Amino acid sequence: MPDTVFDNEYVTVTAGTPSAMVALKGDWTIESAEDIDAVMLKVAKVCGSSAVLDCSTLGHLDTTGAVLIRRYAAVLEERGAALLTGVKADHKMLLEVISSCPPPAPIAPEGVAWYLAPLLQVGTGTVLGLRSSGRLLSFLGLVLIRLFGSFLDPSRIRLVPLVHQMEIVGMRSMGIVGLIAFLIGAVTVNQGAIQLAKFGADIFVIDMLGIGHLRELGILLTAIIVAGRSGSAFTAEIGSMVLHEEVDAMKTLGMDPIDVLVLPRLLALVICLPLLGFYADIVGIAGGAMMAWIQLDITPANFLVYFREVITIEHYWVGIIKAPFFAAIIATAGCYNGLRVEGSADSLGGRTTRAVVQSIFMVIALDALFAIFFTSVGL
Amino acid sequence: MRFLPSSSQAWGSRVTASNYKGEFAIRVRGLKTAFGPHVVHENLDLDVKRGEILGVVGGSGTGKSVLLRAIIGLLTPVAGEIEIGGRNKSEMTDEEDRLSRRDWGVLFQDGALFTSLTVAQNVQVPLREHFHMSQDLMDDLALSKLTMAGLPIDAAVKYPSDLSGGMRKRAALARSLALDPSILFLDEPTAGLDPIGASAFDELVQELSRSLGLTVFLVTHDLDTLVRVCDRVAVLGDRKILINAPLAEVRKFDHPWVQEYFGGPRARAAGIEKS
Repeated sequence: MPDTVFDNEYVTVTAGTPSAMVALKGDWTIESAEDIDAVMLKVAKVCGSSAVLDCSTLGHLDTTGAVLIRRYAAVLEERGAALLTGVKADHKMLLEVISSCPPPAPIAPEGVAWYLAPLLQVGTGTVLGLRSSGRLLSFLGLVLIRLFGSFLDPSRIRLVPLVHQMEIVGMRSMGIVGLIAFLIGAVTVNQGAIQLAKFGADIFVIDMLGIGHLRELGILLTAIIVAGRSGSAFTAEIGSMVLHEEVDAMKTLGMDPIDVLVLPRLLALVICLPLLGFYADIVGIAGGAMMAWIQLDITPANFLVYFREVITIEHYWVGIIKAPFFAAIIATAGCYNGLRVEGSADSLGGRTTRAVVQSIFMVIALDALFAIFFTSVGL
Repeated sequence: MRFLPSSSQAWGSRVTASNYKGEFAIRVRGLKTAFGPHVVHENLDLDVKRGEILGVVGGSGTGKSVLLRAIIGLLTPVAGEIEIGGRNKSEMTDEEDRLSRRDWGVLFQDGALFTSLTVAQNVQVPLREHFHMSQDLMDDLALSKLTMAGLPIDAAVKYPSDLSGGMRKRAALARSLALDPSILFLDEPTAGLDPIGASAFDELVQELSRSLGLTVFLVTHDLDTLVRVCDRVAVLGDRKILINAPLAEVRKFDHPWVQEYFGGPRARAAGIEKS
C-alpha cells in the first residue's frame, strides 16, 4: 500500500523509493493556477530529493498549466531530480512549446539602491531642468524668427487656422472669463467696503477696485484662465498629433510644424488675450459697480462719475500692455510641451501639466517684474 | 480576502464558455450595423465552428473590422443576434458579459498596448485584473507568453514606444493570449510583419489552435495566411457574407471580387492556382 503524503484537488504525492511519485490530476488551467501555485513549495518539501511527475491523469491543460508544470519541475529539480512521465499526446506539444521558453528571470525594471535614489533624483532633476530651460529658450528663438519671417512675407501666415484658433481661444472663453471677472470684481468691492467702512472711507473702494482690477487682477486672471484652458489644449492637441506621427508626416510633406501648428496658435492668443483682458476689465468693474450699488447704495451713475474722476487711463494701459507678453508665454509653453511629447500616454499627461504650471508660473513672475518696472518709471 | 468567487461553479459564464461543446463558437444572425445613414452590414449571417480558424477577407471598406468590433461588443449593432460560446450576448447581464470576456483574446490592428506600462506589465494586466496570482508566477507566465509570441526576453522590460511595429504586434498577441482564451480575435495580425515573422506567426496560431482547441477569428489580407492557416474563409461583400467555405470552394465562387482576389498575381504567388 503506497503511502500518500500529500493530496488535494490537483496533486497527489506518494512516497516511494527511489523517487516520490507526484501525480497531477484535475484541470491545470488558468482558473486553478492560484491554488496550484500556492501549494508548490509544500509539494516540493514532501517529495524529498527525487520525484517523478506523472501527467497521465491530468485533465484539461492550457499554457498556464504548462507553465505551472515547468515551475513544479524546476522546483523539484532544485532539490534533486525530477522526471516527467505519462505525458498525453495532446499535452505534449504544449509542454514542448513552454519548455522551449526560457526559464524565469526577474523582469522588474532595475532600480538603484534606496540611499542613492534621492541623490539621483536631485541630480537628474537639475540636469533635466537646465536642459529644458535651454530648449524652451531656443524654441522661443525659433518661433520668433519664424514670426518675423512671416511678417516679412504675410502670405505664409495661415489665415484659416488663425481664425479658427481665435474662435476657440478667444470667443469661446468669454463665458468663463466674464463670469470669473464679474465675481472677482464684486468680491473685491464687497470685502474692501467692509474693511474701509471702519475708517469711514468706504467710497475709496472704487479707487481700490479700479486700480486693482485694471492694473493687475483683470489681466492676470484672464491670463491664468487662458493658460489653464487653452495652453493645456495646445499641448494635448499637438502632443496627440506627435504620438500619431502626424507631425512627422507634416515634416515629410514639406510643412513646417512651427508655421502650421505653433504660429496660428501664438498669433491667435496674442490677438485675443488683450481683447479678453479688456472684456474682463469691463465686466469686473460692472461686477464691482453692482456690489457697490447693493452694499453701499451708490447708484451706477454716481459710480461712473466718481470712477472717471479718480481712475486715469494710465491704469488701463499698464494692465493691458502686459497681455501680449502673457499670451506669448502661454502659447510658447503650450506648443513647446506639445511638440516634446514622446511615446506614452503618461508623457502626454505630464507635458500638459507642465505646460500649465510653466505658463502660470512665468505669467506671475513676469507680472511681478512689470509691477516693479512700472513703479520705478512712476506709472 | 478575495472578493472574486474562487471555485469553478461560481464562474457561471466562464464555465459554460470554456466547457461549451456545441458546434459553433460564434453565431451571427441577421446582423445590421450602421453609422448614421451609412449601412455597413445588413442581414449578415456568420457561423464559426468551434476549434476552427476562420479567415475573414473583403475589400477595403466592406466592414471587416466593424464586424469584429460588433462581435466583441465594442459596437452595438442596429439589429441582429450575436451568440458567442452558445450564449446570446443580448441576454447576458453586464456582469456575465464582463466575465465572458475573459474567454476571448483580442489583438487589435496596431496592438493597442498600454503605453505607460512595460511589455511584461501589459501582458500581466489581464492576469492582475481577473486573478490573484503571485508576482513570481505572473512574471513566469508573461515571459512564457512573450517567448511564445516570438519576442526576445530583453523586450519584456521595454516600453511599447521603444519597440518596432512588428514587435509591438507580438507583444499584443502575448497579451491577448494571457488568459488562455478559447476564442481569439485577430485583426490583421500579419500586417507589418516581415515574411519570416509572418509565417512564424501563422505557425504559432495554428499550433495554439490545434493544441488548445482555440477558435480563431482572423481578419486578414495576407493570402499566405489564408492558404496556410485558415480552415475556412469567409468573404465579406455587398454588406453580407458572400460565402463561408474552405478555400478550395471559395476560389471557385462566382463573384467578380472573389475571382479577382484569388486570381490576381499575388494569389498565384501564394500558391492558389486558378482551377
